[in-house]
Amino acid sequence: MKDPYEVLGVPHGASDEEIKKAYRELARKYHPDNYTNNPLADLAEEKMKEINEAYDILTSGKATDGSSSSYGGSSSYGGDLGEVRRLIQLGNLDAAEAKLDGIANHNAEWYYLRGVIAQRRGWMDEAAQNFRIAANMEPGNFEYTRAAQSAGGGGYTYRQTQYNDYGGNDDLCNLCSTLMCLNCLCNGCR
Amino acid sequence: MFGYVLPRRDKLSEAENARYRAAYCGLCRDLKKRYGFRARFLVNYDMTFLYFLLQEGEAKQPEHRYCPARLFCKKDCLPPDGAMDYAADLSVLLSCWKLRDAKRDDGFFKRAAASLCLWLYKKPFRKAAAAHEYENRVFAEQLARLSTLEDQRCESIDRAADAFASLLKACAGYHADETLRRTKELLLYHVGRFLYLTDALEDLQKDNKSGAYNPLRYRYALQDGALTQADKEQFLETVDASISLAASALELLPETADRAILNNIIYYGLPAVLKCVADGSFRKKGNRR
Repeated sequence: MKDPYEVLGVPHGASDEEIKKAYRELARKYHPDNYTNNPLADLAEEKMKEINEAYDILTSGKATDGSSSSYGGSSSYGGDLGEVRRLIQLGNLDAAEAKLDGIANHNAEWYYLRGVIAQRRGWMDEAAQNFRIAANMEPGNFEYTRAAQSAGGGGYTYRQTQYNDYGGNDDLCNLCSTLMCLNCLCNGCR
Repeated sequence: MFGYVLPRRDKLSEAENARYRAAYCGLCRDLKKRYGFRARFLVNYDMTFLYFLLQEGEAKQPEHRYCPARLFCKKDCLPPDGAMDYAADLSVLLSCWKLRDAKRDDGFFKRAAASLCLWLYKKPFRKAAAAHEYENRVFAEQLARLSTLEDQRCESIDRAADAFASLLKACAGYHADETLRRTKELLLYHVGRFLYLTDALEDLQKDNKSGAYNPLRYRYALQDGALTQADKEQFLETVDASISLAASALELLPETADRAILNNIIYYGLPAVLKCVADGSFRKKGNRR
């Protein structure tokens, strides 16, 4: 069992307020929604569990918001497309794609699932294209619209973190690249 | 290599900057130690990033050593360890595979130069390939796949990028531990995807003139040899998604001594490089490799 203070990244004897703040920040970072269709979703879930446990211990067992509860889509779908969903859940993307290719009826769900397979592979451009088709064919479907809006981004956006002020101004950028070129010329010396 | 995987130096502290330089110099020194003086020319920023990514354990203290590029004044160098040796070996492997690739594509003089370099690096290449059979095999397979996709004029930017991304992913083979390896594989896959697509964007105009394969030429309808504003935004979004996914993997990695440098590269460096390539300010004219 890891030291709960260490898990939350706070010093021993931190106040309740500090613990709560650290917990909230970590829970936001590792929330399952950030790892939707991410091949590392299981690791994020484990991390989330660890954070919840640590928080539970430090707040002497008061209930947390239980955000590590199960997720990952239901398997109540039937038919061939249900089988495709099942294969995707198992992580067998090649088989899922082959099965999908064998289906002649290309409805909105078919395009959506093609998008999910692409997203799981990290092929974000194809994922976005397929999600958009699905959302256009069935504009009322929340699942498709949400997927199309995130446009194959996969949930996690690095700008949510403390590093959200990247970019700076162009002068700095130019200065930076000039320095990089200079550095190339003198083999990494200042 | 590409030289796109860079930190934003202005966002590194003085001490972090010094460690980054010491890693670069250490890699150069390790290359010389393992492969002789000629291998020093293969040192690059991308593999310096790989060193920081694979590094484990306590922070190593730099040593003060001579640097031939600075007319024999001394520089701080991080001492060689497992990760450094691996980064050095893969610098040799990747450079040689890149030369082999150049021998196939470019004009007569470039082909001749590539052949000459390959001849010069024949022994280092053999040694590195023998030490890393798995990586060498993946590089060969994925580059063959990439050239097939190029010949087919592949219209999917994802599929073209997949070959190169899978190649870089093999560099996580350094770790035996399943979780570490899986996490770094995803990170490297998306850094690879980022590299390939950023390179495609930078080369678009040049390739459009010469008629060489560039996935963007087939994926989008170009106007005057460039992407339309809407297409460009969509393209940048998909590359941005790769930075996000690389970051999502980075957050799952245990803390290491130089984590701040890794964070800087992924969170500041890659977005800044993408932005500079997109607005054409990344390399000045005539400074092209």
